[in-house]
Amino acid sequence: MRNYVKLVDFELKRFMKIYLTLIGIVIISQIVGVIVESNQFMDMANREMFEGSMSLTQFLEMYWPLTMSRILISGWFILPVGLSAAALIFYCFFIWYRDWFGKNTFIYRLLMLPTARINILLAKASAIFLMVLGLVSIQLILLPIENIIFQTIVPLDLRVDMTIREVINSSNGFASLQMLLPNSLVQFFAHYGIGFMTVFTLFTAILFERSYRIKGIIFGVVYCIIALVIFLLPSSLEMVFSEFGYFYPEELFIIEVILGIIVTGISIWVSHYLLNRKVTV
Amino acid sequence: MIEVKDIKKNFGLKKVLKGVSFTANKGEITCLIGINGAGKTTIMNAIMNLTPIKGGEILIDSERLTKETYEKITFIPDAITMLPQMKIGEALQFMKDFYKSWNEERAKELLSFFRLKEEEKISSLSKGNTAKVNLLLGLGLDVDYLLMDEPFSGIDIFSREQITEVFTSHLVEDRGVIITTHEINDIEHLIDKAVLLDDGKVLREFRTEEVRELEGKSVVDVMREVYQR
Amino acid sequence: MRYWKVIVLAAIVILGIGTYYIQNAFANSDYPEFHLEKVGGDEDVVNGLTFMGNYFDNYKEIGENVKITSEDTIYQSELSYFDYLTEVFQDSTIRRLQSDYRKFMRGKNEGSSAFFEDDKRLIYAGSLGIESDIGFRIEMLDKEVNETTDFQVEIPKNNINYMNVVDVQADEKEVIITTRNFYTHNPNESETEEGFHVYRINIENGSLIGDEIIYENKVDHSDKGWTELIEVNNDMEIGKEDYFVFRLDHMKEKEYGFEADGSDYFAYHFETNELKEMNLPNERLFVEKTAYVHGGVVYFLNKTKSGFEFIRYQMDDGELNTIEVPTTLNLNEGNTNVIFHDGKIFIPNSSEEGNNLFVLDEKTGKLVYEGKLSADRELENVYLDLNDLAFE
Repeated sequence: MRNYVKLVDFELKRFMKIYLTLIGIVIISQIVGVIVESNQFMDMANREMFEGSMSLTQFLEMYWPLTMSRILISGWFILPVGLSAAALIFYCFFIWYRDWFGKNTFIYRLLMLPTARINILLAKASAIFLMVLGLVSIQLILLPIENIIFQTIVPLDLRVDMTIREVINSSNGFASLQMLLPNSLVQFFAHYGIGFMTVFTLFTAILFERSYRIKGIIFGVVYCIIALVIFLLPSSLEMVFSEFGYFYPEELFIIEVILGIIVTGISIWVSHYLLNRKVTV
Repeated sequence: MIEVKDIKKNFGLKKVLKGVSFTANKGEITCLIGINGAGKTTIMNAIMNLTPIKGGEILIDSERLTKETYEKITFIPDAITMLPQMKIGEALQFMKDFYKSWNEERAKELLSFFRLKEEEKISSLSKGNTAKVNLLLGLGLDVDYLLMDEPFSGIDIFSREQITEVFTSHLVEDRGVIITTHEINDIEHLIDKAVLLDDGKVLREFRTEEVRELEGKSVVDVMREVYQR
Repeated sequence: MRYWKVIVLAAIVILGIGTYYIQNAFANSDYPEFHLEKVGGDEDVVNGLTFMGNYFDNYKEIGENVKITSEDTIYQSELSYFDYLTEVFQDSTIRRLQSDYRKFMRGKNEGSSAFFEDDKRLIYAGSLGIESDIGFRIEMLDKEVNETTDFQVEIPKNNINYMNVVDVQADEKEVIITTRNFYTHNPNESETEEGFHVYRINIENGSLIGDEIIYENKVDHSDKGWTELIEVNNDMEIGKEDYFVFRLDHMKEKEYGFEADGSDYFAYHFETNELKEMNLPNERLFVEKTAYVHGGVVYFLNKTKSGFEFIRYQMDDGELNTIEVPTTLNLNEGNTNVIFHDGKIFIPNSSEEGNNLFVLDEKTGKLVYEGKLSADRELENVYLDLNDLAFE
């Protein structure tokens, strides 16, 4: 357990510079974004109402009051979040391959640690997970701050205030926010559980490749397909027997939770086996 | 004692190890000799469970390797096992964090012997100094067995001398060492046992003292005999 | 400090995400609470009435499914995940059937038009698809003994491309399935044909005893216009009806695209196997008009100056009469979706101006209740669209 925590800390340290850079980009871009978008709106309002002699009512009818959810669809928000997501997805692969490639051979050290090898995998997965959740949290902490900036620039007449939950639920705001922060906690665990399962399945596929090399790529792909089939078993069965909607939604949810745990369990077990018996430096 | 019993290994269709057996004792230096591709590194990796073998068995003090064994046996590959962006001090801290058998005093001693500084970044070290750090990471552990893969390859003469000096010192005493090399000259006088390998097989395993005393031959003489037949 | 990265990151996660969900759990709703407020009449008639609808906030660009009961206003996003899954804001008839007959309803995804219910039985008739066998799967639940019998019936293929079950009726001897079929008689021709079919199936032995085309329409798209069949019967009603009512719209090219310039109404009598064209005055108001069928009567709802009127067409004798309903509240130009319950007609009415409810006595046509939905706060650019009513 201690070794696991040490390893998580170590894995975080290895990506910390890039991670902090990503967070920096998100914070700076979004804050600049709120200021730019709010000011643009105010410029437009001034132009229309003072130079163009539009009344406040006419202006609001034509342009609608500004909301946070409207600000949120600009590239200032989506691009840095997309960049961070892409970086973390890429890192899911890189977190393994960086130990094998290059002049150093850190994988020797990792595999020779006097600790269960599965801890290496758990630590890598946890590091990625913590970083994903960390970014989501930063976004959550950032939203109220952005809201304050928005409220300072745009006067009450020209804006409509929204709660953070409303911003997240708004159909206009970037839909990924709804995926990252669903309404109920159960759904939150469901989404991130699926994320966890996917990461473990991917790690298993990578370990197949690292164990059997070229042949391992095929094994890895086959493994991913098997994992997908198991997870989608209820839907596949319904498809095979043309019995669509056989399960009620709440039953399906419970089945999927169980299948998700099974897939995650199998992935960890197979990874454990590969790391102990098959992996090669 | 490390016992390697009839281990086999393929890379694809190529058989790299065709049933290799030998033993290495504690308190002795055993040298695996062979040209590149003879399977030396693969044997080392197999002993450390860093690559799977197809058949055979490896026992360390009559037991199979477990995670605890890594406190007892360590391996110094021919490239450094730490991240290049780490400072030497950080690398030592890493070892201290994870190994109970890490001997900080000895590590400090080696650090000053090699004239290395903790603040130096691994990536900025010369080849010779990198090899020394690598050696330090292995020797700093209170292990019974030490495996070294080509510790002298591509290193300047002064570093070589320093490293050789370590072998004769108290730092290596009592430990069982397995060392691979394709150049025997530097260490011929140090080794207790030689295992001559070729094409994934052991051609001859002998105690150097015995051949010297009984047959009046040096290791190189035996090598000439075996390889040039 | 050792492991500070893990600790700091974990702290940020707990602070950010944890606080958000804890706050959500305790925060007041972001959305208004609605209450049915009596304007006139007898409050007892709306006991247990639940409204289902959609809530829109234009400025915030939020759309939510909402359910308004006498105690509570429940928004989809505020439900727990399990409630959200079971609530799935669907057809109230199907939801009721699913909760009462969970086993029987399993795997039946069709809308309520594939079901028939009376005191003793719940009957399902679903299309088998059109690939290999064409026909129906029929399942009957005997409510008293809680037993299901099922069988399949094949029907002649007759160039049917696609088939939709639009109504199911049953008596002691037979199940009567009304379908809307689409066919191509000649694959080279671009024109398609659609028609209402009535299949009669013997309950005893599961044999097909009747296969009647009650109306056929050639859908010939031309530049000038075309004709279109529309079902008038309400999907959600799964009780006994004597008639199947549909209309034929004549689409013509007008100034702004195509528009119906006439609708013919037809009523098919299940018992006598007779199709009658309904004799309605040639008035604009009947064109493309939403109508409601209940108890042998077709109701047309119409807005007037003093309130609204119900035009009732008695299908037995073709008698047409109009009930004037003077109201205090306006019938808005918006969505109305009438339901019949316990001898009364419930007329919810929503538009951007507000949401009203009118309840009439089915026999007398008298207004017995009038009410409106009022929110607990001032609503700006907010719109509630009621699309279903149910008694729970």
